[in-house]
Amino acid sequence: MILELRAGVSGALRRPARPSPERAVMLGVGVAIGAAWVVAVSMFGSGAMSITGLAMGASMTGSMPAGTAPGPAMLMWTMMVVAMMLPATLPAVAYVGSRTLRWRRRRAMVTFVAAYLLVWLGAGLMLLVVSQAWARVREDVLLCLALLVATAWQLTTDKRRALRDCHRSFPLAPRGWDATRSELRFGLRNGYACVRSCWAMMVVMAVATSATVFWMATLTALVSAEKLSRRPRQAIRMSAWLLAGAAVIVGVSGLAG
Amino acid sequence: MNTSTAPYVRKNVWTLPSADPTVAEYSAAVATMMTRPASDPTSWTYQAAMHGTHATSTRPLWNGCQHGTWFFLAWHRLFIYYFEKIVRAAVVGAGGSTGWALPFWDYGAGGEQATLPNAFRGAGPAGHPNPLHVAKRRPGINTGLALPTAVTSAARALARPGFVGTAQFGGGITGVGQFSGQYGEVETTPHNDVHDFVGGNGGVMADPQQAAADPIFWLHHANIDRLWYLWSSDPAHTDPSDPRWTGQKFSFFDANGTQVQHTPADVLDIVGQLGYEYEGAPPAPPAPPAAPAAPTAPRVAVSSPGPPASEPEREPVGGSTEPVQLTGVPATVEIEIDERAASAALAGSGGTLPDHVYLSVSDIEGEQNPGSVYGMYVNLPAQASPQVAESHHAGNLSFFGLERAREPQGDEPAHGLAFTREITALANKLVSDGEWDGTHVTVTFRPLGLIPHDQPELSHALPDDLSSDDPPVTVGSVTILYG
Repeated sequence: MILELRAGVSGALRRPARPSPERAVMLGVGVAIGAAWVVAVSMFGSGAMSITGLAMGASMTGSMPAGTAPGPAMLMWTMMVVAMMLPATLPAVAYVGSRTLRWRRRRAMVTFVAAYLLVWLGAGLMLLVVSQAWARVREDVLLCLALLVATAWQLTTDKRRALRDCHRSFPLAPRGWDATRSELRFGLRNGYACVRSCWAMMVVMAVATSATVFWMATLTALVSAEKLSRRPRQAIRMSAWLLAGAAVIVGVSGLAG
Repeated sequence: MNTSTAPYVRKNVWTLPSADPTVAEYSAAVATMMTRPASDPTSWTYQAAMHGTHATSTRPLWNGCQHGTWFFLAWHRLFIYYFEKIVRAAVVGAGGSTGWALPFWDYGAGGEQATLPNAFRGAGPAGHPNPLHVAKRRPGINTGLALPTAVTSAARALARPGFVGTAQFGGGITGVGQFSGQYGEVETTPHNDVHDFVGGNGGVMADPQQAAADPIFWLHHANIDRLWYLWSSDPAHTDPSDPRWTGQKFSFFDANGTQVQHTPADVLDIVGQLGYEYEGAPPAPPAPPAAPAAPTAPRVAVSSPGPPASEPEREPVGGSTEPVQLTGVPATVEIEIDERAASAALAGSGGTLPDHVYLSVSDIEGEQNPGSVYGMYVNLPAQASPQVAESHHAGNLSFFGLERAREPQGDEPAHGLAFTREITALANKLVSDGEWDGTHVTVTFRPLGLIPHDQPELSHALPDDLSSDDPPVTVGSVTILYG
């Protein structure tokens, strides 16, 4: 499906012969991604913070006050998911549009995106709960461990299967409640596959307390490369090497510090 | 690969003179290759595994076949070209014909030619097994029943104007991959259909990871290669000039077991570049231009990403509301054409139908290929005779590669099978016959069966052994699209 999806993006963004409702949605999602990055850079560009730290009321540098968890943490998580996960999901959004009757295309694509984000929000909530377990661990140790876990996950069969599932298509009913339900199910299934594939890298993101924009950009590049590459196994292996290298650097600098 | 000698001639296996040694030499060469160790690239086991194998430990170039992709034809042309060289070396080594060439099975000619060639049927006497015989074939194939015209005819494929695209001749744009889901017309019918029809449920030919171990595989693919040659010989048809296609490298083993590498650009001229021709085929067309993407040849030029120029924009106007399960018996899907979507798609045309009408069958999944081939019929009346069914025939649905699509190897994403057929001519006929009202379409799936070769009128008849015991296959979506 990946090529079909890739063609779907270019098709959705190309100026069509007939009015194209999917183009507006694709541009809307693109604007949301851009806005999320602008917010991220403006929030983190001059400082650092972590989602889990925010959830626990840790000090932070930025516009958001400390000690307002978990609401702000979830907002930040949502912003990160939009910035980091939606770019590689654009082909699936376009695919939904291409398989839907023209007059309900926008609704279908938005429904899919909403269901997809819902899964990631659930994952974020779980992460915030679980993060209490490592509240007392030193930050550089935590980041190093998260990077090692992410490296190990990249090398598993489950990771490859999850990434493959990100590319599975789904039968979409043409209209009515059947259509809405199938779009929701597709969004949930695609989101679940994406969480299974990328959870470890997002844990890295959640515990990174410095150079936040750097980590966001790097992990976004890795996630996008895996999902959009014609050679995903190669991309996975490359990600694993990079994550392992980062773990070594973080570990060594932690020891030196 | 250039050759200056007279080209080898690939002949029709069914019209060889009785004294012609081609098939006997093939049989002896197959037997010789079967005695070679599996580690030898010129062995039968190794060659079959290059197409696909269930072996868990693999060797160089195993599992390399290309399906559901615009590389399907070029990869298989090279595959059988080097196999032919290996067989020829074995034939010559045994003192046989130096001009040996792989025969083709032209099942599309109908009649007796639609049956498995005689030399491939019998198991052979005790102690002297026939190397060309495979027991795991569809019941009836080895006893001389014929493939119906519905699955052997390449007429639809040869009539496609373009090479690139899922409703065109050669397949959609993909990367290198064994089952990439972008099937061209010729890959579906007759290629996939014949694989399933010969193999049947659990048969060798119906399983891409065993198929090349059936000696008839190579004659089947020689015919598919011949069909590509015939299609390309039409001056109105153009092979891809996209560098992503012409420049893709694939590797094979020559008769010495040495690895060689070629691209599709190396195989466009079978006489000039490869040194063979087909009996009964028209003369080779002029050699293709060396430089890709000439601006004067835009029909299938696809130098930029996205659908090629020959593929009009497609607009879904109606689809099935729930998946349908196929178990070996007829099944019907009801589709409501959405008035708003159809009106938008027809805007400005003023007609009942647009320029192009497509039938798309997608998200096809199952645990096991049942080996069945279904005819797909649009607005088929109940209890229709085979003749009436033929007049409503929109194409076939078969499941070659179903398991591999679900559990791919290597870099492919998992997916259900998907096929798109252009049904414009059929829809226009149904409109003129008053059988297409533009609001409601039924698509009927009817299993096709083997028939006596002297009763071609039964091509669209339901099989005598109709039963619902097939391993189930789920068709997720059936969609009508306007273009």
